[in-house]
Amino acid sequence: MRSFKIALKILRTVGIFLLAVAVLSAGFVWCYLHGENFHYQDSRERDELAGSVTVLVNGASYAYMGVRPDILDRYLGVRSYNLSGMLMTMEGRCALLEEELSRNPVHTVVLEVSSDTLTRNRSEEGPHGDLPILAKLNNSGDRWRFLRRAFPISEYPDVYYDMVSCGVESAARFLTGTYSTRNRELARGFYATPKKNREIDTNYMEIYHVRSLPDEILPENVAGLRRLLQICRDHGAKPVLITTPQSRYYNYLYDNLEYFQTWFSAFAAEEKVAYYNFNLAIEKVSTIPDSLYYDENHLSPEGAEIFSALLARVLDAYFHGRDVSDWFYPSYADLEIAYPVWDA
Amino acid sequence: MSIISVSFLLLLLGLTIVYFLVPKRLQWWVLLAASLGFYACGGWQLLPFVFLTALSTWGAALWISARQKRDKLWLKANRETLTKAERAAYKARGNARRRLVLVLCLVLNLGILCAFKYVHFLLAQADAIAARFGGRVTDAIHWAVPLGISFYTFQTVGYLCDVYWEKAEAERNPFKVLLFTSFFPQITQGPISTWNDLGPQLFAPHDLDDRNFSRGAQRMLWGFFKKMVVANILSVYVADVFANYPGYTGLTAFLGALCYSAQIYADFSGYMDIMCGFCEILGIRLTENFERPYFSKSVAEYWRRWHISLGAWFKNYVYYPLAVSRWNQRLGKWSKKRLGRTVGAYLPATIALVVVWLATGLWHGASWGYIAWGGVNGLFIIFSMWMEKPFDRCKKALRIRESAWLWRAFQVLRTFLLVTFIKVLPEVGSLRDGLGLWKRILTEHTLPGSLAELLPFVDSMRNLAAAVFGSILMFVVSLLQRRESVRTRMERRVPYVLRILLFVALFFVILYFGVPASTDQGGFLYAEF
Repeated sequence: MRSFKIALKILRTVGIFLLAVAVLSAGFVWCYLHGENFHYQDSRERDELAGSVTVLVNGASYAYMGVRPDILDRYLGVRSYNLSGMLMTMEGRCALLEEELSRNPVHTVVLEVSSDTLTRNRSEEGPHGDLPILAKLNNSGDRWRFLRRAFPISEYPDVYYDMVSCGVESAARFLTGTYSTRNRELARGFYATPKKNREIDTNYMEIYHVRSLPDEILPENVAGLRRLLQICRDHGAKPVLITTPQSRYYNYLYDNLEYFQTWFSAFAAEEKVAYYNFNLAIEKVSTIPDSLYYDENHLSPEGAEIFSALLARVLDAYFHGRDVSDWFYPSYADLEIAYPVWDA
Repeated sequence: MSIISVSFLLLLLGLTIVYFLVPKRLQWWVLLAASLGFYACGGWQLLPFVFLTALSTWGAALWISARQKRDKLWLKANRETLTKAERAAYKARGNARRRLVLVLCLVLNLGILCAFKYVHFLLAQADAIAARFGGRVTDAIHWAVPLGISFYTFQTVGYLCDVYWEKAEAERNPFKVLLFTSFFPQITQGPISTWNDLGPQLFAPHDLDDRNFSRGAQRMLWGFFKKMVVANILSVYVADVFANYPGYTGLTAFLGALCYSAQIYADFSGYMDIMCGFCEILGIRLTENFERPYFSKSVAEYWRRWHISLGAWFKNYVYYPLAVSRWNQRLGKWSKKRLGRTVGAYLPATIALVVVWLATGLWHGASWGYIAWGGVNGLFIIFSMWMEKPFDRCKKALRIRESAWLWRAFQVLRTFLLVTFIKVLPEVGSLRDGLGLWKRILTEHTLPGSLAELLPFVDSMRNLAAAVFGSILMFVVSLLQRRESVRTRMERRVPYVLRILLFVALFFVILYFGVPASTDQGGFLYAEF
């Protein structure tokens, strides 16, 4: 009887502690999800545009920092939105795409792909790519479904930590009067990097083909890519695969880019979708010099402007059924013949 | 298994539940299973070394104790028939046998410790000597060092010596000795407990107690705060200063040294708080390892208040036996006759202190840096012992009152700065680097032009603020603990619910500042020793 009373006392203490932790955690999480204080939080704008978006861009950081929907709109006369994000995983891309396709009359989805799309290992990288999705999704039901689908139970402490720490930062903004319920950093999902990361080394001869990209293509990533295509088709939207431009430095640095170009070309042919690799675009080298990159493989806002215009013209041709294959070199080997490293 | 992890917390939770659910006579079996499981998580291949140490100690202690009892009984039974000389001879024979078993067991266990800990250092020295003669000694040994070997070896050596000196009863159950050796809360960083302190508590039945529970949980949370918020944030700054001090101003290097002092205290005492707190929940009181060490008034006092269990171990098992050994006492008498009373009084203690401090240095690490660190500590203590009387005369002449707060504050500050200087010596890298840092602090007097120049290692003001706030909080808690434990004071003065809310706030501070600082900094400094 005495032990029972003591156990009850302990349970009361633990209960009060846990209750207080839960209430405060819920408060912090609410602060986080209610506001839009992190660069990836854009659900209000997407809510407002619901029912009107006709072109979606879906990818990882290359597209997030590289595709400007306002330029696509201007050139193509459409209403587009960039659904990309940093470290985006296949699960996250699928969840966001499904959400937007289900409430918009989208006819085209531009799917950004790169070697990362095929080789990045979610279980090794951890939850960092999926965590922002919880704040990007529009409602609790979707978040809950995504939580169960994307995160193993062992990652739940990470999810809790991320939610609470972002909540604490949001609450701190609230206290300092800088809290915002409207995203100020994204322009229809496009993220203009605030400043340049670093100057790119242009001594290309020294770094020529000294590195190889990881080339183990993971079956789950390929399955995820097929799922993205299927989601598009299920909603009557046409998928288009693109690879955003990377710096000449990057193109010279790695010796196995051709491998991925061949893989994506074959995949696109098999799936009967168009694939455009903008590293091979004839215009790219002359119009987007390395000074217009944020780092070796992400565009700066100025670079993104030029690239988005190029993408718009390619999409325009695609919409009208025009063949633009002569706008691109067929392979990296051909690109290097046109721009030999010793001439760079 | 990392102690800063959810899985470790779940292990503790599960263990606590099972511990109080099983019949009381089985409680220590639960601890043994958990301890072996914890050890196996760090590398089951190294478990045989723990078994070897535990079983050899158990066997030797049992034999020594049995022999002692048998000899006593035999002497008692034959008291009438034996002459005094015969009794003395019998006793001497018995002592010699017992000493032989003791020495064999010590050689085995300390030999394992030395083999694992010092073989690379010895080979490196041999290589350096061989290189002078054009030779080469290659170190091709790649052994993994058993977890906590320095701690559990010392603990078992202490037990064996206690049995030999008849201060403790030999335990008949080998599994109990195995638990004493491998008890997981203390195996990686101590405290180094004596059998008489820990043994009875480990095997006694314990009831669930709400006061123990809440006090233990509070102490654990405080320990996590110290480790995750203070130590782990400071560790980044310290690593930066130690790596780049030649390019920093003397003031920056000095701040780096101060950060190290705060870091190592928060790190080590944080671990102790976590483990002592957990044991408190179970009803077990571990030996305290800290008693507000940075408020010490001399280096000797500091070492009585920092890592108390290690100091006590060296005092009991090295210093006293050496200081009272026959040859040392004879040397004292000899020097008293020839060199005067003062030398005669201090020489035996000085010899014992030299051995103790070189051994303490070597225990902390196999490098010249640690040997020098031990040497400098010993030098200060020996110097202050020899100069005690002249200092007293000076103080009298200067009319300094020992109880004056200003004098005490000066002593505390002086001791803190001294131990900070000594502490960094082996930690910068090589001994040359340690001395280089001293030189930088003492000879480079450029004043930094900006805050960024003063603190070039700070990447986030938020983290700096957390570390500074945490350090101040530790200081305030230490001050408050002078008279009474903060937890007791809070129990009396702070309402129950408010107390819980305070710890909820601490939980969120740990979560917000401590978790990101702990992603790559999960290890504890003292686990390296």
